[in-house]
Amino acid sequence: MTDPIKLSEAEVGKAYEVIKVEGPALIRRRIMDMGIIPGAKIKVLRLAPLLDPIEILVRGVPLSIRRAEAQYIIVRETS
Amino acid sequence: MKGTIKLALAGSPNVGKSTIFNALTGGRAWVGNWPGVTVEKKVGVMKLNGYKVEVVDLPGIYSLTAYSIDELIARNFIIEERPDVVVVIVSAINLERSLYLAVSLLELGVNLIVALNMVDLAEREGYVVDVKKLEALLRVPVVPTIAIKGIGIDKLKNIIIQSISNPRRNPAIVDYGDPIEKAISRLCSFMKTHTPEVVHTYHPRWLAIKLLENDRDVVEKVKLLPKGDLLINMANEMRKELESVVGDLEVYMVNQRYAKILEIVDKVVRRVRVKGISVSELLDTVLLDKFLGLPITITSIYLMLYFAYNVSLPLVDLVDALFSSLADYTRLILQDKAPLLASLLADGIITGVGTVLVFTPMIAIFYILVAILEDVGYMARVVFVLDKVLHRFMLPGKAIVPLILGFACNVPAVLSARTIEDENDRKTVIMICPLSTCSARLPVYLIIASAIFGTYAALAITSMYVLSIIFALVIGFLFKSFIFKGPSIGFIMELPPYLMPQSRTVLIKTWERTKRFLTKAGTVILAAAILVWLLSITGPKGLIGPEALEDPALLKASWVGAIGRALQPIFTPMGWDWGATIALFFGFMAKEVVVSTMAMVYGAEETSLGRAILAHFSPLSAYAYMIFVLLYVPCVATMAVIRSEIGLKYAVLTIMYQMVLAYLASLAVMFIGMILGLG
Amino acid sequence: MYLIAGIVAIVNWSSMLLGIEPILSIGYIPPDAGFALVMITIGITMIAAAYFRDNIAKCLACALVGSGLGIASAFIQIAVTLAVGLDVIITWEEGDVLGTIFDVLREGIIRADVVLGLPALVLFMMSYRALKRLL
Repeated sequence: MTDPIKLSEAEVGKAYEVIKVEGPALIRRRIMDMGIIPGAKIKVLRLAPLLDPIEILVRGVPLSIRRAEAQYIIVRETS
Repeated sequence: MKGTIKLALAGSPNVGKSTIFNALTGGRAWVGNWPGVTVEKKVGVMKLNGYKVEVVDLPGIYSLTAYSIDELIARNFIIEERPDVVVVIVSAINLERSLYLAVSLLELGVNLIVALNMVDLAEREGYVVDVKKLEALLRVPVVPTIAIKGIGIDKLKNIIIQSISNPRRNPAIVDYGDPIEKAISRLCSFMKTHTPEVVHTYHPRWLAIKLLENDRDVVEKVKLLPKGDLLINMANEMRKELESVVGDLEVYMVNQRYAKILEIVDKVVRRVRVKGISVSELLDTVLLDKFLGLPITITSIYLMLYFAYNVSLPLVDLVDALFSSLADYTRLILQDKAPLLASLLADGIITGVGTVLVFTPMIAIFYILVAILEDVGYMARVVFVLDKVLHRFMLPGKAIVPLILGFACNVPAVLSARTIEDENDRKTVIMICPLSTCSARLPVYLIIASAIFGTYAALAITSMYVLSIIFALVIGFLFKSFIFKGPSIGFIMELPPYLMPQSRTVLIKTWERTKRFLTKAGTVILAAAILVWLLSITGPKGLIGPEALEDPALLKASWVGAIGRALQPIFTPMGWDWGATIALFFGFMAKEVVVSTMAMVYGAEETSLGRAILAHFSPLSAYAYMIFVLLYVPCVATMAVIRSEIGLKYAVLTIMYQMVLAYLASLAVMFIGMILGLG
Repeated sequence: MYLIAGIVAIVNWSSMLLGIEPILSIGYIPPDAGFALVMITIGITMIAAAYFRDNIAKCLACALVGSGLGIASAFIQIAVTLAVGLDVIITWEEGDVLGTIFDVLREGIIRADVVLGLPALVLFMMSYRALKRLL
């Protein structure tokens, strides 16, 4: 079992599972509405050329998310 | 005529909602604003089986919370206007996420039809959706469509007709589990007995759920109802109890909805082919590459601007020439009989209208390019790549489109800011749009720079563009920090798969947008042109006559001259004379008019204006002048759209801050120049 | 495949250097910063294609995008030149119209980006077909 980390610290190319979504109600709700809820699988596809935002694959669709929001998503690495 | 049906069209961004809207309504739509807000409202009409169907395009949303104005608009429309049927568009390649909206709509108690769009793309990705099963599980009709090819639209129309006589609803689609369901029932029975008016407006189950979730908007509205407080308190207590069991209730509810959705999707989606790499993914590896991404993006933007500017040139000149000859002709035939009327027509109206129409080809071309890039899906990538830069200045990534458009003309730039969700962000972006140096200012730079700076002219002009970007970002940052405070919710954005743009959609979009530009800008510029004309040929001593437009000496005696003389002292530190000041004044109407005004005032033909400028300006004051033109007030047309988008207060604010900024900047230039001994 | 990518890359690469330095002027390369930007970008994309030669998918994708940009830039340049020519006709005041048009056309079309558009086109078709087979 690996330690939980923030999505903003995740590594490119690895797959993760969402454990918890934190943050102010508005941001948290936005994140969850996009399907990023506990149990969801996320794969980190790449970083933008300027290193922010991050492109992640969630539920089969690539999303762009800023690190500032990604920090609210707590994930754990999966195989 | 059997009557009118009210139909609401809902869907998340990128599911093909506008394509379906166009397919249903034939692309003709009335566009305006939802009352009281700056969000766009689109309504179209279609005739179906003798009925008149009013199709209201709801904003693109992912769910129905109270956290965003788009969602509230959609929600409140459904609650208050009670459409007869709601069609929600669900994307077969984004099933889970787009079903979330469908489920949220079902809970509202609407009569729902699901249009399952992009089934061809799903098939391309290697999976198939069992439509019959989906229908059975959702308990509402599901119509598979491929909107861009027009497939499924007729069936959709038939289902719409059927749904009027045979509505299908399913508000209890999600089972939230025992303790919550019990709480919901208790709230519902309380509502029915003690606050029956509530049940009239809202579906009881939905209301109960929202109260338990502590939905801001619902709570506020219920408070106003008799015995509403009791209901709210009851919900609050229940929530506390429930949260001790399940944790944050809102999170729990979202989870449960998704659990239900996943359950459905699992039963309904079948993989028929192993997933290989898709074209979009492949392209993205290059276009979003660490090293290649940035140069490719900047190159694309450059190519787009280069193409648009230059290709529209002949068209612009064509329109210009047409209007000039029209004006000359009018003057010719009316000159002797009614010189005043001739002038009004020629110099006032025709010139005024001409100024607007002259830009239309360029704006249309820009719009076409932007529409193509949007439909292809590349715009999202541009935003992705450049977001960091904008983020640094606390601006949203989507601001890139208005800022780029602003280089053509500020009016469409302001109009395009509608896509920015957050109100604070939108206001900020709109107010910095005028800082983008629009194409109308280019002739001014060209004339002055080539006259004064000779070989270094290109450098001077490029510096204007660079400064424009810098100012826009910095001022945007200041606005966001001090005035429009609020988190720039960067927004999680989908990167849609690359699609071939459909010429029909592109043309419809462009036509709509160009039309809006013409109506908004056109009327204002025309009014301004006539006003300016009036001020030029009349003066404190009475009517001077149209000759004033040709003769600077006479102009001096007019109102315009008076204003010029009054304002001129302000500009002495910059070394600008009365003529230059007047030119600035006329520039308020449309920036490129500055050139023709200067020509007239200095008594020069436009070709020999260069020498005249040399006589009236020093290199330093000329540069300061260029900066002033870059920064000072937006042209009346831009002013008008700013007002219509975010209100008179902000329009006025824009004028004020820009004047101050322009003045300080040119003053600073003079100051620094003098210190450096450039004189 | 890679050879062609390499050759085009080198050609683009040399044109890119000269694009920025107006001193070394070969007639076909205008001293225009925007032009240099486009050329450089295409050049490095092509080089990337060669760089990724082990990963077929990525290599072909780079070639596709690079040549795609090459075609686009050639096409845009031709369109722009035609437009400018048209503009000359519309705004002619005096002087040798035909002569000016020829000058404009000559300057606008006999340029590196247009000429390189042809091999770019070929490369594009090849990469496109290869990718289709792959997918």
